[in-house]
Amino acid sequence: MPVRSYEPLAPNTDVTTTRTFLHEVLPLTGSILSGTYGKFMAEGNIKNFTHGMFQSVYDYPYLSSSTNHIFDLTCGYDESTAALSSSSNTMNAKKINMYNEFAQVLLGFTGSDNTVRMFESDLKLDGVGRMDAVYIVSFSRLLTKDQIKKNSFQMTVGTGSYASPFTITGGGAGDGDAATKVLQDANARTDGAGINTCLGGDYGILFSSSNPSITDEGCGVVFYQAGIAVISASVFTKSPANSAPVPITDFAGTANYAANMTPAQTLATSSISGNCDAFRHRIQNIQFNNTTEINSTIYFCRVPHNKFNYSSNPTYLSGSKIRVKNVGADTPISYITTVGLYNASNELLAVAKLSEPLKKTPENELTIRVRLDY
Amino acid sequence: MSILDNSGDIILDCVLTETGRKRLSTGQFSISKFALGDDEIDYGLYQKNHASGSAYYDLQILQTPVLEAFTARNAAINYGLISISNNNLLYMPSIKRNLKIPGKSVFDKHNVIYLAVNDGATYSALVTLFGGASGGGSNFVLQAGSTTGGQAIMLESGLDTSAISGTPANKQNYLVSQGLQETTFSISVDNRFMATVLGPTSNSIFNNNGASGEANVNFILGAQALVSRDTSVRNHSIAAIRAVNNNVYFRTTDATLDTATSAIAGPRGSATAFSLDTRPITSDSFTRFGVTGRTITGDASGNTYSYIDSVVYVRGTYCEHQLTVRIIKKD
Repeated sequence: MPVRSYEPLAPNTDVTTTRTFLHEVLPLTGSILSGTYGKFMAEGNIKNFTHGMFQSVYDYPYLSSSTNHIFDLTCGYDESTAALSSSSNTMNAKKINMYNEFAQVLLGFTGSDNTVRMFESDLKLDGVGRMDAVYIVSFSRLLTKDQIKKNSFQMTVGTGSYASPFTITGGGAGDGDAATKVLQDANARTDGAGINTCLGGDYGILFSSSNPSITDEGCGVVFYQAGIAVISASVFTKSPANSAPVPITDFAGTANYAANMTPAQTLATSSISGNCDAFRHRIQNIQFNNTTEINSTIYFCRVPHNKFNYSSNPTYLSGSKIRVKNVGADTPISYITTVGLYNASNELLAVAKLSEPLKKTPENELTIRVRLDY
Repeated sequence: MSILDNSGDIILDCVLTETGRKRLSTGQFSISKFALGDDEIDYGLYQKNHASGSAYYDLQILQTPVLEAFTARNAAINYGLISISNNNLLYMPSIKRNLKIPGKSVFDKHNVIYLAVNDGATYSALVTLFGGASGGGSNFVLQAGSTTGGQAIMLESGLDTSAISGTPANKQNYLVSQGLQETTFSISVDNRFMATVLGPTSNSIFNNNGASGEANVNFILGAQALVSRDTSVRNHSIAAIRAVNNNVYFRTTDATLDTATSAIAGPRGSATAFSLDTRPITSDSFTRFGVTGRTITGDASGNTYSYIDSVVYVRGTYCEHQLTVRIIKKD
C-alpha cells in the first residue's frame, strides 16, 4: 500500500449519525402538459399505449434521450356506481380495473367480503363521501423523491368552457364563478395533523379552498409517499346563481370530441386516453415540494498537532532534504487536500477532497468533518 | 474529474469509492480510520526565502486547485501525509536505483527494465542485441525467475545528500535512531503477469569493505510469494522482501569513494535487490495488454518481439519508488 499514516476513528466520539429532510419546489406549468410540444392530443411529450389504460406525460418529447418522465394519468370509476358503470361504456372494464387497482394498493380492502375500499372526500374510512369517478395523477419518483411534502400540494384546474378552460367568457350558468379551482391539501401538516395513514402511506384531502371549514368536502386526496393525487370528477362543476353546483357541460368539447360532454358523459363514452386528454387540457398548474430524506454519517477526522506534519509526496524532498525547511528546527509543514476513510483492512472506502489545501503544522490541530449521505 | 470551486468557503466533496460501494452492497462497510493526502501539492513551489516575507512562502501552494473526488481506489491518496514524532527532521530517506555495479545491477534500456520471459530464447536474443555476453549485454536484461548469476534490480534507501557524509555515526544519528531505516520493502506487481518476486535472503551483503573501499555486494535471491492484494492499485499484489543493512560508508582512508558503490550520497540505511518471475503469458495477453510483432531499436537480426510494460512499486516506510518493467518475449 502507498506510504501513509493512519489515525483511528473512535465510534463513540468521532462518528455520529443524523437525518435531514431536503425539499425542492416543483412547479409544473400547464403549458408543458398540453400544447407546447405539438398539436393538442398529438403532443410529442404525451405517450399513449396500445392497451390504453393510462398515458404518460414527459417534460420533453419522449423520443428524445434527454426527456424525463414526470407523471402518468389515468381515470376510473367504481363498478358499483350505476350511474357510471355500464357494460356498454367505452373501456368499461379497464376503467373499473384502474379504479380498483389504485384503491386496493392505496387504501386496501374492507368488510367481511374484502371489498376494495373506495376513495373518500374526507379522512374517515366509513364509506361516506365516496368519490365514484376519479382522475388519477401518479407522479414519477424522479419528482416526488421520498415523498410529497405535506401542505405543499396545489393543482389548479380550469372550470371554464372547453375552449377557454381558465377564463369565464360569457354569461349564463356559472357566471360569476372563478374560472379556476386551486386544489390543495390545506389541512395537512407535517406533524401529522390533517392526514390519515393507510396502506399507501399518509394521505391528505384536497380542498378547493385554502382555508377549508370543518364542513367542507374534499375534492380529491393526495398520497404523499406514493406520490399519487386522486381527483374527483365532481371538481368540474359550476354554481349557477342561487343553485347547487352542476357539472360543466363541455368538460370535453366539440373541437376534439363528438359532442360537448360533462365529466360523467366523457367517462362513459370516451376512452381512458380521451378522458386523460380532457383532464390534462384543464390543468393550469401543479406545484408541490418534494422531500428527500438524507441519512448521514459524520466522521470527525481529528488531526492532532503532532501527526501528519510530514509528507511522502515525491516533491516534498529535494535530495532527501525537506523543501519547507531551512534548518532542522524549522517547523515541518504539510498541506492537506484529501481525506481518505479506510476500513480495518486498509481498503479506501470513501474519499473527500477539500476545495483548497489546508496547512498543517505542529502548531495547529484540525477537525475535518466528513459527511457521508445515504 | 473537474476542479473544485475554491472561490468561497472551504467545502468538502466526498464520494464512496468503488471498493466502498462494493463493501456497502455486501454489508461490510465499516470505516475505522482515516488518512490524509496531498497529491496535488508541488512542494517545489514553497519559496522559503521569498523576499516579501513568510506570508508569501506558501502562497502559490495554498492557491493550488484541488481536483474533485473520484471513485477509483488507486487514485485518491497516492502520496499520504505521514506522522513522525520528531519535528526537527531536516532530511528524510529516499529510495534510489543503484546503477553502479555492473554484473549485479540491471540497467535501463530504452528507459525501461527488460524482463525476458523464461523461454530459452528471448534472454539470449536480447543479450546479443544489447552487446553480447562479453560486451555487457547481460547488464540490460533480467531473466524471469533466475536466482543465480543474473542481474537484479538493486535499490538503496538513505539520505541522498552530499551535505552529510555517509559515516556510521551519521547513519546512526540521522536514520537508525530516528526510526527511518527500512526493515522491509514492499514490492507491488501486476499479478496478471508476475508470479513471484525474488528477494534477498539473509546471507546477502551490501558494503564497501574491500581492501580499498571497493564494493562487496552479493545478493542471493529467493522466491517471495505475493502474499496480499494491493488495496490501492488494481490487479496488483504485494510481496515483502528483506531490506539488507546498507553498510557502505564514507571512510577517509578508502581510495575508492563510497559513492562509487552506492547511489546514495549521504548516510545509507538499507539496500535490497529483486528480480521477478512471470506467469505464462499467452500471445492473446500480449495483444490485449501490450504490443506484438515489434522490432527493437538497433536490432538488424529481423527478430520481432511481443511485450507488455508494467509499473512496479517499491515502498519503504516513508518513501516509494516506481519502476517500469518491460515483460518481453521473442516472437
